[in-house]
Amino acid sequence: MMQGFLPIEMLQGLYALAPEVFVLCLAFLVIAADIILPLKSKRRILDIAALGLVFAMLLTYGNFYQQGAYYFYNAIIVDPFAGFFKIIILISAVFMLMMSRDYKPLEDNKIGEYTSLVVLVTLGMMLMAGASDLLMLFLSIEFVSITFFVLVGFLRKDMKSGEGAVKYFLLGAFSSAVFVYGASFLVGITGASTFPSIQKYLVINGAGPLFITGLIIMLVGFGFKIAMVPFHMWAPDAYEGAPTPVTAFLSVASKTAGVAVLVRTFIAILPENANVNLILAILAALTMTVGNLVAITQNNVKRLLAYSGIAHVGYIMMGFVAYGILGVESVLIYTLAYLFTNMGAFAFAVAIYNKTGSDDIRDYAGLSVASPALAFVFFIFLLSLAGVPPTAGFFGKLMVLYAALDAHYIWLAVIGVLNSVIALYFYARIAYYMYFAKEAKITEPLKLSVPLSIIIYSSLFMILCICILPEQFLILAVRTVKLLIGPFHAL
Amino acid sequence: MPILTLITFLPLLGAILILFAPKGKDNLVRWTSAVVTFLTMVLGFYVFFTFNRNTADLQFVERAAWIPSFGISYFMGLDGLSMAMLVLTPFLSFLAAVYSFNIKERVKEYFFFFLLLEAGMIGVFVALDFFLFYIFWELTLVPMYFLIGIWGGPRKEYAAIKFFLYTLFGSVVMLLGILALYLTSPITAANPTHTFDIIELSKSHGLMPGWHQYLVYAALFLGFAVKVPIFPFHTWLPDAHVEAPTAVSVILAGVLLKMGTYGLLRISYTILPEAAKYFAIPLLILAFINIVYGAFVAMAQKDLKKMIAYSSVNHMGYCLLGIAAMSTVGLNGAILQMVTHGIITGALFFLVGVIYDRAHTRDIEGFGGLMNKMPVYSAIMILTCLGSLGLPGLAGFVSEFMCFSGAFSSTINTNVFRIFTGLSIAGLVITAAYFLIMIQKVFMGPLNPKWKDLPDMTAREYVSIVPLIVLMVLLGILPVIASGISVKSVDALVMLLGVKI
Repeated sequence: MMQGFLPIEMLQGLYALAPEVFVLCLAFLVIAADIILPLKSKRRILDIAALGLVFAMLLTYGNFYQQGAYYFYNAIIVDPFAGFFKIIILISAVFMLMMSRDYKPLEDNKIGEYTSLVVLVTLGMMLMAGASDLLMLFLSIEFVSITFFVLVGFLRKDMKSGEGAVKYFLLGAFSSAVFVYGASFLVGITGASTFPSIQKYLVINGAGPLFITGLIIMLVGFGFKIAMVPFHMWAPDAYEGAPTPVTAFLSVASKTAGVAVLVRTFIAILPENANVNLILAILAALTMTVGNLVAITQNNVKRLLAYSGIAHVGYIMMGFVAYGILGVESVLIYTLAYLFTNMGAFAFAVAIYNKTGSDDIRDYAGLSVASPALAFVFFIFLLSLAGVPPTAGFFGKLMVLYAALDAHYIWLAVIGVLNSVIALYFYARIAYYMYFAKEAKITEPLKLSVPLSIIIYSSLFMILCICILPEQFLILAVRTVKLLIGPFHAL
Repeated sequence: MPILTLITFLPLLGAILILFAPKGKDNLVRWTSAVVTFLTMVLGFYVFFTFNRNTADLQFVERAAWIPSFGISYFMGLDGLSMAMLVLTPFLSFLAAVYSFNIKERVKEYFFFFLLLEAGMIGVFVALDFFLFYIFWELTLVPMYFLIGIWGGPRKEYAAIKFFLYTLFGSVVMLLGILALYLTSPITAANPTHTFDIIELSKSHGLMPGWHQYLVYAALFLGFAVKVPIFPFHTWLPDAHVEAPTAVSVILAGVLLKMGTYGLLRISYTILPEAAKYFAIPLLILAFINIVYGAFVAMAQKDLKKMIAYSSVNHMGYCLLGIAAMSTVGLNGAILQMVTHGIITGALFFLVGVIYDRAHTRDIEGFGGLMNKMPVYSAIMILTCLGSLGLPGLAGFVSEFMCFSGAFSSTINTNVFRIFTGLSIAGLVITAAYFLIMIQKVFMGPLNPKWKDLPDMTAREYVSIVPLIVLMVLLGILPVIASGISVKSVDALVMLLGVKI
């Protein structure tokens, strides 16, 4: 056993995890900067962190050239799949920090604390994307959850922020416990906690009913992270209460990381889909239907996006249910589309909040008259959320529908398309207030700050690009998925 | 020269150009749109006159790999099924753009959406790859939603969202059908992926056994039926038409509805001929309902615009009758009917707009004796109504006659077709009745003193309407101008359908 302590192996691991190590150092740098910088230039810390994360993104790019190597006693894997999700997490972290720059409710003297938490939670999610050991998985999920509890409750003077944080915390703690319970089944049966060892056990012995039960219990933990029905109750309150940039971050990065571990755990442990898929399919159908139906009556834009985010998880699950290369590929593309679409929409929510001080969509009235171009851009984001071409949302939806049909889940695909009609209705409600409402609440043109315009226009570019020129993304996704699934099929 | 790309994207280019117009320069925006739509129209006619009528092959083909890993290509082309609509669309768009000069509010946005709509519509008729087709198909929804919702009548918001939801519902179900077709397309050494290519799919048709094909047909049919609209999916139409601004109603009736019938011909018939034959009788019955029900409901209307909206339901019924027949005459008639209905109903909507702009009411009972006050307007209106009710010598007669005779001589199921065609003739009588009653109430009798100051038509209105009237007469006398265009393609389609003539 002493062999494992050889420093050379540790160094290799640290080298492979250079992005994570860098992000950790960045968190310390942020804390140091907080001490050094005077109060009036505290917002610079956000810039430092954002730049640092951009650099981490460049480092992460190296992951795409890895074939999938395990480090630290098989606890962490570095492969393009992890790299893909790390990049998504990093992009949303950068966008989130840029959004925070102009978010007024954040007090200047809290910025340092806030930024260091964001950087740390980013690190946690990056570790989640690469976790290949049940223990590592649990630790990284906990790391992320606890940090997020703090971030959600960051507006200490706001009752709603506190309420959201407490709900998030209670349900989060509960689901973590259930998750560990499920994981204990797996460890108990297989006598191992790393994915490769569990894999080996299954190849020889097969997955018994008890094993499947453990897996399904674990699903509760994942379901909580990605806000899947019926474990979604915390999401709307937490989203509404949290500072809007945190909401955006929570809805994109945390969900993405959850999807990453869900997909990796299932694909890694169960090479061929077993009986769990019907359960997953029913949950997918429930998730999108409940999310969309409840969204109809929401007037708070953050709550609305929370429910719409729940519905999107349903779509992602639909792709995942299909399993196989196509299924996971569709999950990747959908997640990518979701990242840019949601970030753009939240950037608008922040911009309008800064203008009007309200998150109520009824207060969007008159936006199209005051600034027609921006209103139309916002509308394109809404179209992408609804899945209308030529936007990324459409292409993502096309992919998951295709995957579902290919796997003969026709009923699920039908529910999926019917849901997109419901979805269109509540997104069109926002458009209704922007365009058709009689009494204008917004009378002056909306002015975007530089960080917000960067987020909005780069996201706009990406959502059009993903639909109109998706070839490169598809090639990347296929390669990624093949490397994810490949080793297990070979076993 | 990639002329189809040019004709599709020219309006889009115009739309982007308009975005850069400085604030307050409304006339600049108007004239830019007029010029752009005019150029598009010229291109449309250029294609029309250079189109070779003696072949069923695709012409003006453009093809480039687009998303190879999914077998999606940028594929455009024309044949007899789409040629007529390709020339009609820019033509009506130009006239509608000219008519829209009277829009006073938010001019820049109006023309932006209008040009976007035109690009989408043209794209639908030239795209031969499902992915491209679907993008254009959906591209028409958004501008239409805004055009109705912002510049429409009193209940515009309701009409706009109803239109949007209805058509989206249809198209997402259609999307499932498209994906099913995609999935069942064969993978060969030459084509390592499935294909979205409509022509390729039509060549490999029949690979799916029975009920599978019927299911896909039904999914596609739903998408088209909402667009046409076929009873019972027609309820969005009267709302949308009544609330939409005049020029948009014209586009809606003239082009958008035809996307449905075109889709039936281009996609359902060529790719799923088995299912098309299987469902010929139900389609016939739906056509019959459209004709008779549409006509009766039109007769009951008090609102002039609503009456014409329902007359569209009725007239699209004739078109469906021709399509259901699957005979050469019937299909040619259906394609011609698409054109003549576009021209005549387009003109009618313009004319209703003319009177509404002056009187601010469309109540049929509220008029009377307009003949004395607005002689030119009345003459044009009466002539167009006669065209719409199928008076020989005008365009409507030719296409309706072809649809009916095609259906009557259909070999699918001779007796059933004869019975329903016979019953549908009743629709013609009712159509004549409601148009004549309307003419009587609005134009004849003593002049209602309320309208003693109504001026006659203006130059802008002449520019929009007269070309349509000229075409209506011209096609009535020389139908071969338009009807010859589809003959070869229809022959090929009938051969594909395998119906004996």
